[in-house]
Amino acid sequence: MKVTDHEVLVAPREVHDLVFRCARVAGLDVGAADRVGRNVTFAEVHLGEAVNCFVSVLNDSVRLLTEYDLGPDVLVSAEVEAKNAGSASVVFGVPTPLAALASVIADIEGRGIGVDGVPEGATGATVVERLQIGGPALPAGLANTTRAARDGLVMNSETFDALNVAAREFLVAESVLDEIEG
Amino acid sequence: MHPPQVGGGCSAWPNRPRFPFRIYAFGVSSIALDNVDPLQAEMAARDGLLRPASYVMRPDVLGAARLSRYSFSRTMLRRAVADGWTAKRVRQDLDDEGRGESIYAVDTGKQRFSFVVFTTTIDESAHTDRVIADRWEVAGVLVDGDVDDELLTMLRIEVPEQESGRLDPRILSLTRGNRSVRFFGYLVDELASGRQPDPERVGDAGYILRSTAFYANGKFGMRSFAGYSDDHPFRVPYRAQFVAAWMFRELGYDMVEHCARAKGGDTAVRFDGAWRRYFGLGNATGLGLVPYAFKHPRVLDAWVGVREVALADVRWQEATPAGRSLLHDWIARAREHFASGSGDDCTPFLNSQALVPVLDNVSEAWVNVAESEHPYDALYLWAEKQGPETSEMVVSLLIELHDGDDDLFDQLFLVNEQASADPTASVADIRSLLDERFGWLDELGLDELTAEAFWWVVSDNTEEPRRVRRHRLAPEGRDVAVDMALRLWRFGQVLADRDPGESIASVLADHPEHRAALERLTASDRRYGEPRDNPCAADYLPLQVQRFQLAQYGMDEFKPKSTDWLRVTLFQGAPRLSELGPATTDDWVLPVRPSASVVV
Repeated sequence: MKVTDHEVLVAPREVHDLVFRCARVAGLDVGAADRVGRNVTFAEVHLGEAVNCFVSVLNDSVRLLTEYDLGPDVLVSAEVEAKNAGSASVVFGVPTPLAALASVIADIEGRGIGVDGVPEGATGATVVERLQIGGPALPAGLANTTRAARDGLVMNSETFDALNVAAREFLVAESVLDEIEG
Repeated sequence: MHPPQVGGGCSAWPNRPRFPFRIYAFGVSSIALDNVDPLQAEMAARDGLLRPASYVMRPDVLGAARLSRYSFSRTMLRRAVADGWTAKRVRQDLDDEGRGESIYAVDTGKQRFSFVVFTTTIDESAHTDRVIADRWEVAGVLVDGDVDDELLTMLRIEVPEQESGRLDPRILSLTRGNRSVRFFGYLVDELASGRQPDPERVGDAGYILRSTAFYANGKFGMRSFAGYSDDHPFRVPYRAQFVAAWMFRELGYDMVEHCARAKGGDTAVRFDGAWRRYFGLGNATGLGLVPYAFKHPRVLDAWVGVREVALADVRWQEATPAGRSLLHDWIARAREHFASGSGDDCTPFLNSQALVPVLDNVSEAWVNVAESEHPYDALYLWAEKQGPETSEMVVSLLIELHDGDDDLFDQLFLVNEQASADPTASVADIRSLLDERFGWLDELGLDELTAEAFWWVVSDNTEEPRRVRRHRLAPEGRDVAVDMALRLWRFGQVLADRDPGESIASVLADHPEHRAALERLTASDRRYGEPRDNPCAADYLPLQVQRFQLAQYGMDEFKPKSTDWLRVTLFQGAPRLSELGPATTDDWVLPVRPSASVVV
C-alpha cells in the first residue's frame, strides 16, 4: 500500500499499545485503559478517523474520562438491562464518539444482542447521544480486520507522532531505573 | 428478543447498518478466526492421560524445560524439508573486517523471502547483551519477497536504527546482534592460518554471533501475524522469526570465512567436518519475555499443550524393539552432548557436566523398565520422582519418539486470543469460575507483604521491561499488568462480600479497578494457560519462565548471568542453508563438540 509523505503505515497492535499507554497516563486503570485501546483500534480498523478523534482529547482529561471510560460503562449497564427486559435504551451523558464505544458494541453483538442507532456511514469520530440495545445482532465480515493486519492502517503522520509523544509518558526513564536497581 | 422501544426505533431494524463484528486480535500468535482451537480437541481426546497443570505449570518445572521435537526451530526446519524449501546467499558485499551488506533468500516453492542484513564493527567496550544497546554489529530484516533498489535504500536507513526506525508490512521480522567477543577473532585467525579451531579453546561456546531480539507481528510497522493469508508459508507462530534466526546463524559462518580469506589469502581454509554445523546462533534474553508469559494464557496453553499431547501419546504407546532402541540412542546421545560441555556455573540450573550423572541415572532407569508393559510411562513416572531437571529431560527425550503429523501440529499452535467478559454474568458464576481456574492462588501467599515487592515498568530506552522495588518508585499509572495473580486474588475478596445473584457489571460499577481481573478470568479458559507464580513477589525468579519460553523456541545451553537474564544457543548442529534437501534429517540437536574429550 502506498502512502504519501504525510502518511505512515501503522499496525493495529501499535494503535492499541499506544492508546493504552495514553489512557494509563491519563489515570485510567489497566482494565479501563485496555478497553480504550480496543475501542479506538477497532473503530480505526472498521470505521476510520478514530485515532485522530482520540488524539483530539489527549489534552482534555475530563473529556477523555467521560467519553472513553464512562461511555462504555453506560453501554455495558444497558446490556445487563436488555438481557432482563429484552431491550434497553442508552442515553450518554455527553455525545460520545464511536471511537470510544466500537469494540464494546461489537462485543455485545458478539453475544447475540443487536445494537441499534449507529448512523449509516459513521466514522470513529461520529458522536452518538443514544443507542438502543436489543434485537438480533448482525455480525459482519472480517475484511477490514484482515486488510489492516496485512497492509497496515494509513494514518496521518502528525496524528501518529502526537500519539507517540503522549504515550512516551508511560515509560520510565532508564536513568531512574538504573539509579534504583543498579 | 423484543424490538427496541426508543432510539433507532422499530423501523430502523430492517436496514440497520452492519456493525463490524469484533474479530480483531492483539496477541503475537493470534489469528483472525472464530474461537477455533483444535488443540483443545486433541487434549480432550487424551483427558486423563495428560500431566496435570498443578505439576506442569509449577515454576520449577517450567524452569527445567528443554527443547523438544516441537520447539519452533525444529518444526521450522522439518517444514522446510517437507515442503522442499531452498535457501541460499544471493549477495554479499563485505570488506576485510566483515562490514557491509548481505542478502539471503529462501524459496518455499510458493513464495520467496529475503533476509537483508547490514554488518559493521563496534568497539569491544560498546558490546552489550542488553536489549537497550543503541549500536549493533549486525542488523537485519526478513522481507516477504525479493528486495528491489527502492526497498533496499529504505532498509539501509531504517534497519540499523532498530527500535527508532520505521518499517512497513513488507517486513516480517527485525533482528540484531553482535559478534562473540571471545571467539569471532579467534575463529578468523585459525581459519586464516589454515587450521580448524581447537576444541579446548572453543570450550562449549556454541555460537559465532549473538542475537538479542526478533521483533515481528506489527512492531514498528511490520506486518501483523493476523495479516498472513491462510496459505502463507509462515502462518505458524514464530516461523518468520526462526527463518530469520536460521539465516542469521548462516551469516556468522559466512562472515568468519570471508574475514579469514581476506586475512589468510590462499592459506585460509573453511570450516570442515563437524565444525560446519557445530556453531549455532547465540541469544541473550532479559526480562522482556516475562510479561509475555503472564499476559497470553492461551498462547502459553498451546506451547505447553502441544508438548503434553505428544508426551501422552508416547507414554501410552506400545513399545517396539525399534522404539526401545531409539530411546536408548537418544539417551546416549544426550549424555555424549552434555559430557562434551563445560562445568561453568549455571546456577540455578544444572550445567552440562552436572547433567551427565542425571543422564546416567536415566539410562540405568531405562534399562530397568524397558521390558515392562508400558516402559515409556514407567520411565516418566520414575523421572518425575527425581525432580524437575530429570523429569523434563526425560520428557524431551521421550518426545523424540513421537511421530506427529506436522501439518496438524503446526495448526495446534494457532490460537485465538480474543475473549470478552459477559457483563450479565452473575457474581455466583464468576466466583465459581474463579475457584475452578485459579484455586491455586491460595498457595502463593498473596496476603503477605512480600507478595507485592515489585512493580513491572517499561524503560524509555528501547522499551525494555524492568522490575523495580515498589518502595523505591511509585509508578503513577505506569506499571505493567503482569500482576494478575494479585489482581485475581483481590477480585475474589471483593466478590466474597457481594450478592451471588448480582450482575458482575454491577460489581465493576463499584470497583472498576477489577475489570482487568475479570477479563483475564474470562480469557484464561485453558488447562495450561497460567504459570503458578507471582512475578511481583520478592522471591520471584524470572529465569524459570524465561527458560520455558526459550526451550519452546528451541534454545539450549542455558547460562544465567543474573536472576534476570541469560545466554542461550539455538540451531546448534542444525543443517546449513546449502544442506537443505530431502535427505536432511531432524536429528541434528544435541551435537557433540568436535573432537572433544568426553567425560567417561
